[in-house]
Amino acid sequence: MSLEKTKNPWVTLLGATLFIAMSVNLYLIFQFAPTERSMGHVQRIFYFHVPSAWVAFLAFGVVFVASILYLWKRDRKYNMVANSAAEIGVMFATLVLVTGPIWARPVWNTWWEWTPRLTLFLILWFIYIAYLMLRQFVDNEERSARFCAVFGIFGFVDVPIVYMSIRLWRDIHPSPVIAGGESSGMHPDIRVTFFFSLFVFTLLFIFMLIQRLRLEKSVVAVSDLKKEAALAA
Amino acid sequence: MMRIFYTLAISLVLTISFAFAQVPRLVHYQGELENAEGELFTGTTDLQIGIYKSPRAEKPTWIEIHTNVEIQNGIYSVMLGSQNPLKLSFYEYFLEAKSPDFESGARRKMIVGSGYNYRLGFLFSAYTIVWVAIFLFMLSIFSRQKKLINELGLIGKLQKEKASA
Amino acid sequence: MSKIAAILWKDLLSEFRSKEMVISMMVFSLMVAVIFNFSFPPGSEFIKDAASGILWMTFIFASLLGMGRSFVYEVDKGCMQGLMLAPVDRIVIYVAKLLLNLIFILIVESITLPLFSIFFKLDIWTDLGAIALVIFVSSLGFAVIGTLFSAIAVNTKTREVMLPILHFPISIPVIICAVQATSAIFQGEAWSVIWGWTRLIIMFDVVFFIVAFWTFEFIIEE
Repeated sequence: MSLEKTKNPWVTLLGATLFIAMSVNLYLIFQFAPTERSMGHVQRIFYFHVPSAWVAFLAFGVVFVASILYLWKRDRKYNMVANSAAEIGVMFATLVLVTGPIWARPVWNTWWEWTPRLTLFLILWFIYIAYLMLRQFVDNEERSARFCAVFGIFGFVDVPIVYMSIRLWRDIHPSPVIAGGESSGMHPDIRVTFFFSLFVFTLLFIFMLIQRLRLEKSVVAVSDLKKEAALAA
Repeated sequence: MMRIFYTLAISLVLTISFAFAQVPRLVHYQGELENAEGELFTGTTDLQIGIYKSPRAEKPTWIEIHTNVEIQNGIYSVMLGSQNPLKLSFYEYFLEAKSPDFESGARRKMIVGSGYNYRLGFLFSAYTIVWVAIFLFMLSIFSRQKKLINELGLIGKLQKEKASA
Repeated sequence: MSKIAAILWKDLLSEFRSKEMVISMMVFSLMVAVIFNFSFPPGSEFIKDAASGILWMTFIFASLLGMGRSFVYEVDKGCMQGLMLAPVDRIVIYVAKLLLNLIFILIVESITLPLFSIFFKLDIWTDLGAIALVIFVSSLGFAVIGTLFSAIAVNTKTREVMLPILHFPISIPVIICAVQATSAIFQGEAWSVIWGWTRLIIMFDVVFFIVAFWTFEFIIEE
């Protein structure tokens, strides 16, 4: 039972890089990137709205892979990875759902529009909230790991299916509000800012996942020790 | 799970208080002055700009007078909020420009499109939510981690004491 | 095959004796339909457009109620151990439970539907074949997901609440397509439109069944 008390130099390096990259990103978003003509400054939400969505997808993809690996190898660490990634994913999905309406209100003149992407994120959010609830409501650790793995696989397989059905559903009832496409003919400076932002958010996700995983390991270590102590007593 | 709820709740509260603080802002506005026949005005005139809650509302929500505005082919541009502080909340409004020298017949313009740049509040609130939420999330992870390490040390100590006794 | 039939027969027999499940599902679904009726002003024309949505909400709530119970007896009365000890594949248990749930849901739906058509003044008889097809494939989809998740939910602390929370977000595609298909039928649209949605539901059923097929054995392991 070894707990990493000493800091891993690579993680520290990653944290430092992240700090610098985030500062640069701040400059790029608010100074370097040109103001979009039709939407004005509010378009800058794009540089953290879309990367948040990307991180959420990435996190849920990690949950999916870790779930399969868990069912296959039965190694506890995959379960820990899945749990950590799911929590981070739900957080970023929530951020997508919060920043989306903030963007939509001035641009489309409505807080909420049932566009395929927004709807998909809402459903995705429900799926992974259910995932986290399932984890809390099963007492046995091994059992909760198995159930969550199954649900994690189901949830991720469901994503393309949900998207397809929402798309068709919207096509039948076309919305009067057609928003300007997000990537239609991007200005080169916008593109640079966007991809840098995407990179920063990915880095952030890796950093958060490492930290969350460390916490998960400590939680498991403490609960194991407590169980041992209880058995000994 | 609870961590996410706390994090987001706190960041939402912080951000909403920030976003709804209505700071007066300047808005650059470019409009067109024409009469009912579609004729455009050219020359220098005073303009009274009013913002209304609906196309037919009689009482303006906000009003401001710009003197000696130069107008070329009906096109004028003014800085809204430069004479009278502009404090509006998020919803759409209707703008009407009146001139004593020219009978304007144009309908009120809804200000929500490109001319209306009163949107920085949205941008900043979104940005704040994102970073405050991420920051609080990390903070909660670190603080919990610290507590657990302490607990772990305590358990280890107890076990050692037991073993020696 | 005979193993599936044996488990299915056991469950059907116990249900025929008590009739608990089917009756409570039926009463529940009728009540949901009646309550939805009050959510519209009397004589409202909206009800015609909303009818297929109400129909599906009724069916979904009733089937969740039924499916939530499908493993409760096994777990509470310790029959699960018996089932697990039986020399059959885990997947046989799954298919038997799936068929049982499907039968219950279909019985309830076939009784609710005519009453529904009377309450809401809907014509279901001209396109009965199409409606039956859509209802069958969608119910299959619900049962495929619901049987798997009820095996999960029965082991959680909050059984009755957990099943809908797990089930709804995953089954949204089926719900969307089912509502669209039935409303297309009620509005007398071309068969190609109806078949387009139905085909999608069949596809979802297949995908969900494959995933459930591979993952069910991990759920009832111990």
